[in-house]
Amino acid sequence: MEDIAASSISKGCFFIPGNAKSSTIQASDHFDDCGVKPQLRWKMAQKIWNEIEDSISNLHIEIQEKLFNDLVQYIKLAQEKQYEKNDLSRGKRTEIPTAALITGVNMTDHVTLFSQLYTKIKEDVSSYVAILEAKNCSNMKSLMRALGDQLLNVCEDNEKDGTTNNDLLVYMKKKSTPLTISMLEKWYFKSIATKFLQTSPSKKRKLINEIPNPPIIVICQQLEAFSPKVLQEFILMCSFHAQRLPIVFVFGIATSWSDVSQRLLPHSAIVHLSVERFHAPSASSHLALIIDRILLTSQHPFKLSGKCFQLILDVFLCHDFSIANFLHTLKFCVMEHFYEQSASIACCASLQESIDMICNLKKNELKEFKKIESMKRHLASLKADKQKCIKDGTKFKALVAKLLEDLHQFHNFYFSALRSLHAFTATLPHYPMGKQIRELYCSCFRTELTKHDGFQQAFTILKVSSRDQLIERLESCLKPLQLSELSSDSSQDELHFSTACSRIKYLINSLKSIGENDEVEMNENTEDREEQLETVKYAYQLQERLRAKAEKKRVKKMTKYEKLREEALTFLRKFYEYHLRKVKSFPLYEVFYFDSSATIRRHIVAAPRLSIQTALSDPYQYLQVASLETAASGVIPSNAPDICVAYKLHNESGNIINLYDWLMAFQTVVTSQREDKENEHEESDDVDDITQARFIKAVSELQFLGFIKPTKKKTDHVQRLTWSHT
Amino acid sequence: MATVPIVYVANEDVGTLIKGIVAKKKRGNVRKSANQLAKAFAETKEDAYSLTSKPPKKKNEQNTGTKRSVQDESDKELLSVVGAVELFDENVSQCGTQVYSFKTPKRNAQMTKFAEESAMKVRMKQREKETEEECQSSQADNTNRKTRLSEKRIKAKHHLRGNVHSISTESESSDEKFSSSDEEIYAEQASNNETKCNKTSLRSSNRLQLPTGRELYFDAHDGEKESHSRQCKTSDRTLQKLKNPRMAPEELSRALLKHRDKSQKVESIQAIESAQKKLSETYRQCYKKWMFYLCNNFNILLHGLGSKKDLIHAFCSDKLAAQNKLVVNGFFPALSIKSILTHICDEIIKVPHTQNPEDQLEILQQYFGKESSSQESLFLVIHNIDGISLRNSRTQSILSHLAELPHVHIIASIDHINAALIWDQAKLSRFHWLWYDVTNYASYDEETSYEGSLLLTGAGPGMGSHGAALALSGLVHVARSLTSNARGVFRILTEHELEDNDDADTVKEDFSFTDLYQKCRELFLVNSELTLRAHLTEFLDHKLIQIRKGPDGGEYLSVPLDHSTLRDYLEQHETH
Repeated sequence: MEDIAASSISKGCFFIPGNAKSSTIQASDHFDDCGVKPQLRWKMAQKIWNEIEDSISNLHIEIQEKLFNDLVQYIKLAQEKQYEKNDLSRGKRTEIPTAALITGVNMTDHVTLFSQLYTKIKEDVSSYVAILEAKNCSNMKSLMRALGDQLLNVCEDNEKDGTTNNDLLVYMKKKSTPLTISMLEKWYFKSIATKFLQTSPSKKRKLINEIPNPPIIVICQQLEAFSPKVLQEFILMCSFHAQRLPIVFVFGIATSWSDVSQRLLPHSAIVHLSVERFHAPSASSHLALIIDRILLTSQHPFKLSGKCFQLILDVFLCHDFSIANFLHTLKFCVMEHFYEQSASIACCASLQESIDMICNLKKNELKEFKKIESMKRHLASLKADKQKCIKDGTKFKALVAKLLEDLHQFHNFYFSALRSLHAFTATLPHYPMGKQIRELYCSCFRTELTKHDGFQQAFTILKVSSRDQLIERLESCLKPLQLSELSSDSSQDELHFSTACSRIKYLINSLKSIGENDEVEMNENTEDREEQLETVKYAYQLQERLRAKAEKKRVKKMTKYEKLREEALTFLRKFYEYHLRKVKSFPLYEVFYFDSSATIRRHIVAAPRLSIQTALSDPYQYLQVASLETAASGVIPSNAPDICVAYKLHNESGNIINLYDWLMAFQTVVTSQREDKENEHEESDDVDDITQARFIKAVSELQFLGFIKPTKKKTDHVQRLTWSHT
Repeated sequence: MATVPIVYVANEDVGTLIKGIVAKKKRGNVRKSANQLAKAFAETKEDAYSLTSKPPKKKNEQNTGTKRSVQDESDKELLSVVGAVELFDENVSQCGTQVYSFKTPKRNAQMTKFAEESAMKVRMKQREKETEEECQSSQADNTNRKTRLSEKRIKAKHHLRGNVHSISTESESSDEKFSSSDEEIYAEQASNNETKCNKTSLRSSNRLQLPTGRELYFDAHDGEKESHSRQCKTSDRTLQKLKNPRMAPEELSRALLKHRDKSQKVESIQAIESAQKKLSETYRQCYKKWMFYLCNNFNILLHGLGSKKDLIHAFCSDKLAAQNKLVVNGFFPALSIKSILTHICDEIIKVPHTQNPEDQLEILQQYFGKESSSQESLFLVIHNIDGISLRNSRTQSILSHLAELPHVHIIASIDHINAALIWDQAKLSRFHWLWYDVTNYASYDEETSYEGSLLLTGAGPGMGSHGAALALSGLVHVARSLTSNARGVFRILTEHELEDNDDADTVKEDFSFTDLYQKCRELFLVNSELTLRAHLTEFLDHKLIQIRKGPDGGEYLSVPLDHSTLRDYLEQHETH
């Protein structure tokens, strides 16, 4: 029914109203039906995503707060200062206070930054705020229009009953009116006068004290996009009125102030600005903070596998620099994880919740857990007697619960250990473990720490570190451990956090104390020399003993500091190797980790061009029919889709193609199968209608896809648009 | 004129010699044989391609997570070696040349040859099967005849080309025919082409000669001539050689229908069709997921070869029956963003719409931007968001602003290979696309129906002679709706236009308005200037004439159509 409705030769749009009364949609209705408790999983996905989003937005606010406060403070101060100066010197105010907000190249997120700044200024400083965008300001007139519109609209609320300047306002509001700055000035003073009149006398006094005249703040988003001429004129014009109109500029700058001052603005304009620079947090440092504080913690049960993590990081770093996009991809990962992985039902923040969830599962729901890849491997490795218990529902439940507990235990310490190791090795030359903690995370995810080259290298370097350096490093690696030590329960294990902490503390202390009496230790060591060589029966015994002795001597020769260093390093090595085991070695790690980077690649960073080219040149990839297998190797199967045949033939040609020849070639291929037909005998170049029709269709489809276009260079020729050399 | 040294060599050395010559020829840009070039490219540039590559096994996309993790596991080792950028291309099992072919395009009958070879190979395979079944003698006859046939055909084609090169080729190939050591030549050809047909028995190949080896030699030299003109040579044959040079659309659809009926009996085509169906089936299984992501403020973008119209329609009737939706045919040439916005304003918000699309957008943003969950949603279904009329950046920017709204959901498709270029970073981040590859090989029936196809009568606008065909049908259409007097006026105009054309040397003069008026009065076609103007306005509206101001201030009329079209029109018109 719709098909008929939605195709017409005279219309391109068709509205089809919904037939239900209430047409609100619920995402939960469309969650996967199969798998374990889909509705519950959807709720969990929502909950987890909301938690992550909340903590990220808190972080945002935290980061931006300082910047905004500084800016607002500057604007307020600038205003007051100007007035003080005016009173004292009676000089004319010609400089416009300007805040140069250096934002970096992250374009897509800046719109939100500026709109937040806008609201902040409006609340805290003055209601006379306008954001100018380059696209509205191609010339002076449109710039004034954009500025005027915003200012007039802003203050409309204040002057709902203000009739005093009605005429002017109405005139100014007309779209066709060319606005001038003197008109704005007149309006501004009228508007503050009415405001002043409306307020009660007691407030009046207060107002006078606080802000004499609320400043007019003009925010220019992305200054580089403005035309220099317009900008210059605008600045000059404002500077003429600066003594009366309290204008303050905020310039959003993507490059740097020196670039703007040298390239964009001439000297004559810059002298009228008194500039103060502010730096917005750069996108990459912002992201690093998000990763550090939110993603690489045990706070949220959902985690990204090393590969996925690296992929979306690469999209960020090599592609768009947009935090918003990064978060969107992250959201996709969360949704996909809970949608596809039915075992994600156990992906809870605390162990108790996970175990409760497992206990409530029915038998067939538990089966899903057996399907998980890492679980399969684990089950296969179990001994025969234990394998029986898999069949038993309750025992299997216990097994799953045990494994989850292990994972939780592991996670409790994993990130602290990671941070500690990062702090320990971050200052080493050449960064064997990576500069950022995220690099460490990725490498720890996919390889065993013992096999990690960087790790070995780092410890080799550490072996020769001096005492001061070592103490410093030990202290820095202790910090992250101490943070999580408090939360963890005590245990007798040697590698447990609390014991490890005290051990490291002890090591630090002893390292500090040996400094003075190092020499004495040396002397003590010399005592043992008095050991005599016993008489031995065979030469090899002597040899052996001598060798042992030499070894002993070497060890003995170590200073006390060296011994301590050796001890510390072996301990730490063991400690990290235990706590930073490969995540993939844990059964059921899929419950918490989203590990399908292929999905991200397919849906977030897709390659549409490749899919078309592949489909055309090698249809076997999509249509698994045996006869098409040869298509990749230069043979065109006659039963390939017509468009593939035409495409393959067109690949053989130059930049223009003769349609007739093309058609002949097409016919040759298409008819190659039907050889036993009689028309072979005729051997005429006549093309039957069907072949011609198929050819026409294929060619027009290729044209639609953008491979060819008609050309007038030669009659009945088309031009090739891809991969032709000229 | 370049001189060609003549050396006598043994047959088995021909191949190496040719290769050597071809490789030696490095003038300006390196000219190598097709295969060599492609290979060289593959080696040096493989990294570059792999950037855009992605896993070829699309089929498994819908499979369960287990399979995927196995796949990922295997890439893991790869990952530890490769750098950051190459993360995009794990699972690459194809090299770039297989997808993007870089055959040297300069050769003359390359396409025909390629087709012949390919067809030959297919036949050879068949024949191989036949040998097992049929008895030896009859089979030998059979192949003999067929070979002769194909040779004739090749020769015929070379004759037609009518240049020196083809004659020499022919003599070469006739030499070959009588040479006794055909086996070696064949073997050499086979290795040159890297075919999989090596198993073909030599006996049957005895009779088959493809002019590959030696032609390659001559082609290489032929290139010299070509490079002087820097022009790619194609044969001068035109479609007029066909018995039916331009098909009418009705004929086309009839022929295609016939083809469909016929192909239902052919097994090999059936296999492909069932594979296509299977593909579509798998895509249909993701409807639920699409809906889920649409609800979560992602927008779905479908790409891949094949019409996605049916797929989207099925999705709409399956999942969106209860929702308000606006179906937009992006491939429709006369579409504009304004019509889209006006539709939404009219049908859903029911506000009097304003003129400016930006203002309309503002109204929509207020309407759909509310956070409340009770707000009803709008689903924008856009077939071909990369359509010609939607391609400009203003349109896309407005669409992206719509896409951003929490209660507007978009499901769209792209087909053009460069479609992704219509979005910049800012727009992309507003669209929040989730890409889905839905390659299904369905034919683009409706999408191409608006497009001026090249070989049809009555096709779309702006394509040379084909556009003229459309213009003609338009002309006839308009003429039918006119009064006989108006037709007369137009005929005077056209005749004048054609007269001018006859003596091409003189500078063409446009018809001045006064002259026309004079002529029309003489023929009693109009009685006042006003009526003439009324007629002319009608023509103007249909863009059949152009009026421009002359240097003397008078108006001059011309017909901006092809002369052949006009002639056709006059001929047709006479018959009416």
